[in-house]
Amino acid sequence: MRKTEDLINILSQDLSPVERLASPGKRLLFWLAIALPISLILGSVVEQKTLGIDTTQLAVSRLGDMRMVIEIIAIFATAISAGFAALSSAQPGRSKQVWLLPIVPLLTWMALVGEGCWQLWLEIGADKFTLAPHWSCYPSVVATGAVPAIALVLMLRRTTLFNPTVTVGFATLGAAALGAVGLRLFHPPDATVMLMLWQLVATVSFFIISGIVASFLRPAEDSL
Amino acid sequence: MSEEQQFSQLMALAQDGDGEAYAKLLSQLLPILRRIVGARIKDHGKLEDIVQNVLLSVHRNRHTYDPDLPFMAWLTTIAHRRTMDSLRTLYRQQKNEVLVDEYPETFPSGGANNAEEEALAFMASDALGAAIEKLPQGQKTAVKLLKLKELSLKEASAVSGMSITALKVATHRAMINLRRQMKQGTK
Repeated sequence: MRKTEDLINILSQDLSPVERLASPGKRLLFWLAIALPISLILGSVVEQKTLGIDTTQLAVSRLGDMRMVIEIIAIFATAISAGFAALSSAQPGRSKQVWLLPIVPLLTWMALVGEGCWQLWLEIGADKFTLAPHWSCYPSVVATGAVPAIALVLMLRRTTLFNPTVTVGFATLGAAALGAVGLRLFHPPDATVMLMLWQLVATVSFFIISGIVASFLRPAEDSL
Repeated sequence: MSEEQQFSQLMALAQDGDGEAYAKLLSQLLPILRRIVGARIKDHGKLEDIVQNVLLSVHRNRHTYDPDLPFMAWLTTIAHRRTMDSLRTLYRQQKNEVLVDEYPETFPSGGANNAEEEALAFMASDALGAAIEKLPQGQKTAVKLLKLKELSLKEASAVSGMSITALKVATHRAMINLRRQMKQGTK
C-alpha cells in the first residue's frame, strides 16, 4: 500500500484542467433538443410505413381533443421531471428534493390511462378486453423510445453513478415518457396500458444495450 | 472566508488545472475523509485503503463539482458511497476467504507438503538439463533453440537447417519425452 500523502502528490502532479459538468437544467434541454425531434420523426415515419396512415392528420385530430392534450402534457411533464431528476441524482451533492418532481405528472398520466382503460372496459366489455401483447405495436415503441433512452445513457455515462438505482429508475421513466409523447400523437390503437408495459420493457432493453455499448466507449473506471 | 468556501475555491482552481491548489485541497480534506470513513471502519489499514479509494473517486469526479453548490455536500456524497462500496467488496472477499494459522497437510508424504523446497532441490540437481541431454538429436536441437534460446521458428529453422514443420513436431515430441522423464525422476 502506498502512503496516502504520496497518492495526493501523484494526483496533483501535472493536473490537467477538466470541463465542468453542465447543470442538470442545461443537460435536460440538450437531451430534449436531441431526443424529442428524432423520436417524433422516427415515430411518424414508422407509423406511416407499417400502418400506412396519415400521421399528420392523426396528430392534428388528437391535439383537438382536450383530454388527449391534457394526457400529452402530463406525459411530457413526466419526461421532463424524471429526466431532470435522473440528471440531478447523477451529480453528487445536488438536492434530493427534485426526486419528488415526477410524482404529480406521473400520477396524472396514470390516472388518465386508468380512466381510459375503464371507459374501454365499459365500451367493449370484459370478454374483449385483453392485456395480450400486440406485436404490431413493437416497431412504434422502438422507433419512439430508442433515441431518448440511448441519448440519456450516453449523457449519464459522463459521471459515476452514486445513486445507481435511483438514477436508472428516473432515467427509464423519463425516456419511456418522452417516447410516449410520439406514441400518443402518431400511434392509432388506443391500447394505453399494453403500450405502456411494452414501452417500459423496450426502454429497459435500450438501457441495457446502450449501457453495454457505452462501457466500451468510456475508459475504465480505475484509470486516472 | 469559511472553510467550505475555501474548499470550493480550491476545487474551482483545481478544475482549471492548478495542481498546487489541488494538493492543498486534498491535504486539507484528508483528516475530514479519515473521520467520515473512520465512522464505519475501525481497522486502520483498511481505513487508509478506503480513504485512498475516496480520493481516487474525488479525482475522477472532480468535473462534476459545481462551484455554485456547497462543497461538503458534494464531498460527503462521494465519501459515503465509496465507503459503502468498499465495505461491500470487503465483506464479499471475507466471505470467500478462510484464515488459518498453519496450512493443513494435504498428503501423507512429507515432500508433497513442502513444494518450495522440493522445487529448489530440483533446480539444484539440474534434472531438466540432464533430461534434455538424453533427448534424440533433433528434439534436443529444437528445445535448445526454441525454448532455451527463445528463437523464433523462422530463426531456429535458419540455424538448424530443419524445416518449420519438423521443428514443431520435434518440440512437441520433446515435451512429451521430457514430461515422461521428469515424472520418472520424481518417483
